[in-house]
Amino acid sequence: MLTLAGLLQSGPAAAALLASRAQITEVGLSLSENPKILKAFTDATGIRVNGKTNVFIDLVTFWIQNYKQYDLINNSSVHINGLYGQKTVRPVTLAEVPAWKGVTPLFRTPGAFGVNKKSGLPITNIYTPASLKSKKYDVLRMTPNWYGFDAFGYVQGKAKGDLTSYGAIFDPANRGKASLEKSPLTATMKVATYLQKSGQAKFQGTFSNLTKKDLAVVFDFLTELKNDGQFRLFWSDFGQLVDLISAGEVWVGDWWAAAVEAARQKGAKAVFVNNPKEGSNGWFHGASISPATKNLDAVLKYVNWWLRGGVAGATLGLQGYYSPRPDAVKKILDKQSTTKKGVSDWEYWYAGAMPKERPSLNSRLRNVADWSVFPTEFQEYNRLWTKLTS
Amino acid sequence: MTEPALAHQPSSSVSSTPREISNVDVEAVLRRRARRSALLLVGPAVLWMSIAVVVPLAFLAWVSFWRLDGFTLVHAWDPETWDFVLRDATFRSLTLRTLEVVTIVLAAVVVVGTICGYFLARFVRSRTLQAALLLLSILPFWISYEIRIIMWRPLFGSDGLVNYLVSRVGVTSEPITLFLYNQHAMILAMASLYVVFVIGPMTWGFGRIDREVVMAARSLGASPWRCFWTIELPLAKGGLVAGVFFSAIFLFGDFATERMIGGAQSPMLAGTIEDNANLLQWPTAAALAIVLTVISLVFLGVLMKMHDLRQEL
Repeated sequence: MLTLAGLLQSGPAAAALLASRAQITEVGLSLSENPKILKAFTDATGIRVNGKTNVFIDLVTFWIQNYKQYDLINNSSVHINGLYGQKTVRPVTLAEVPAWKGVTPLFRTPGAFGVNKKSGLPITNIYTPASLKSKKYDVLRMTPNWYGFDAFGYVQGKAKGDLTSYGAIFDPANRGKASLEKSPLTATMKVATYLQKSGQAKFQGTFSNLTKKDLAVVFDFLTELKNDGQFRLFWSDFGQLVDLISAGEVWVGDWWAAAVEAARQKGAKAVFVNNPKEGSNGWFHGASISPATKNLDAVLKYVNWWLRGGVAGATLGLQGYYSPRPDAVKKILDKQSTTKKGVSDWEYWYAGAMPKERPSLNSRLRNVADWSVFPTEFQEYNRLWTKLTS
Repeated sequence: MTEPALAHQPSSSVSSTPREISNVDVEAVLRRRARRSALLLVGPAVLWMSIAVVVPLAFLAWVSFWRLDGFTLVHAWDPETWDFVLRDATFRSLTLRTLEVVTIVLAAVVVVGTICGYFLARFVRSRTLQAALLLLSILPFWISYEIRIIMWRPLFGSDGLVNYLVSRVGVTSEPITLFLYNQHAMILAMASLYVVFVIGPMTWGFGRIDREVVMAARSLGASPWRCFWTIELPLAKGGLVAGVFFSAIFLFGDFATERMIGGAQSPMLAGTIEDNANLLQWPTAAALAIVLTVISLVFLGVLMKMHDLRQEL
């Protein structure tokens, strides 16, 4: 009788045949579900990936409602506390991810260069709470796939004040033309970073995980500014942001680098400040496995494939995102020059060959104020944010 | 089939007027059968409504009593969320704003929809042209709701058609965002999206009024305005209520227009529910959803009191 186990034991040819029929289903942003990346994985392994895209804001609720129908999610680390807390993520042991040992220490080793001393992020987002507590660092709840840094942007010639500081967003000179993202997590992080680094407040919690007392200070600050008409609006999506920047409706705000670039292409003199004086906010996206997956072998191959950098890392590298395997990405990007004439893609995107446009990765890691995390007091964040915006 | 039933009738009745009694009995049997048939017919609908509406609503009500313990949802019977939702001034102001926006939009769609419906029913004589124009107003509904909203941006965005025309005429050198990312834009967009729900029923409402009734009123000296106000509009009330009914159902639950066109400047209950769900505040989101459902039901109940739509069926 022909059985699956029998076929697997009958030799590599049969195994390859089976692998070619394997399929995993994933949900993530369009960045990770890029057909070019998925095809590269299929070409390398024979395993097909059915990648469903969703927008950032809907990914969490979608996953919690549908994780049993999916094998894995490619999601922002900011949500991992919530997803793990609601038991929708399967922990992964180091034995299951042999590629882990090649990952940059930033995500593996406590105290490594770029790791925040106070919060322990991004490491504390990676390992399970038990693994962190035991200091074994041997069980993961998500594996990093790409990362970046948020800061702020402004329109040259219009925005006033110190344009190297978040303070420009809160400067009365830009009243009515400032904007913040419609997100209690990111907006509060920017405000807290600014208030503490400028000596106006001292917070007990970390910038991305504030205490109730800290939040009261942050929201008092925000409420006063809002009542004074400082903010044109709290922007809520990419297209809207690009539209507002290019229309001159907003001059300064915690804008995404990609939106600034899109606005530039529409003629706006927009500038993204990569390394503000108070420090940037780091974030990363990565894979978490569904506890209901029936394709664990194939899923682990996929997770390991991402952790090896390669095509996925290089593809996202050309869009401005960093890979947790810079060594592997360097091998590809060093050989090509598709961005700036005479400069290799590696030199441009990672090494800081043109520091005003694109500072080096090292300089950005040195300048991280903190990394994003789903805060412990998220109910209080939500309550105060609803109050502020309503 | 009726014989055995007759055999069981009380003897006194049978002995007095047997013919009449048997007729009454037949009617009772027929009534019972009709009731059975009605129950059988309504059964699938009741079953479907129970599965699709009652059960999810009951589940929602249950979730509103759950509790968050850190990042974990505890399936408890905890009234804390309801205490918070009902006492917090923020949610009261959100509810009031929702009612305010819905009222303004409904007023706009009633005025515009009535004018359009009246025009189609009274001034477009050709039935074909009337149907074509009505179809034209429904045309946007052939594409999805999100696409219709997104289409607003190419029209009114910084590099959209309106800004192109404005800059060509020389009114302004910079793009204007008068029609985007503020409460006025949101109300305008909502009115334009939902007015079609009033145009259709009002065209039908005015169209079925016998023209001779109007002509009789006119011949008795009523002005066109008096004729419209005292005869035509009351007779078309069914269409008006139907239009407001459907517009209101969609309006209460609309959060995409608030986000994408209003720029999230005027948060309402529907959007706040989504915000809470995205921040994993399931109990609060569920409680607000129940509040919104109750408000919608009360509103629709009042509408039904004003005019029983079942009479129109």
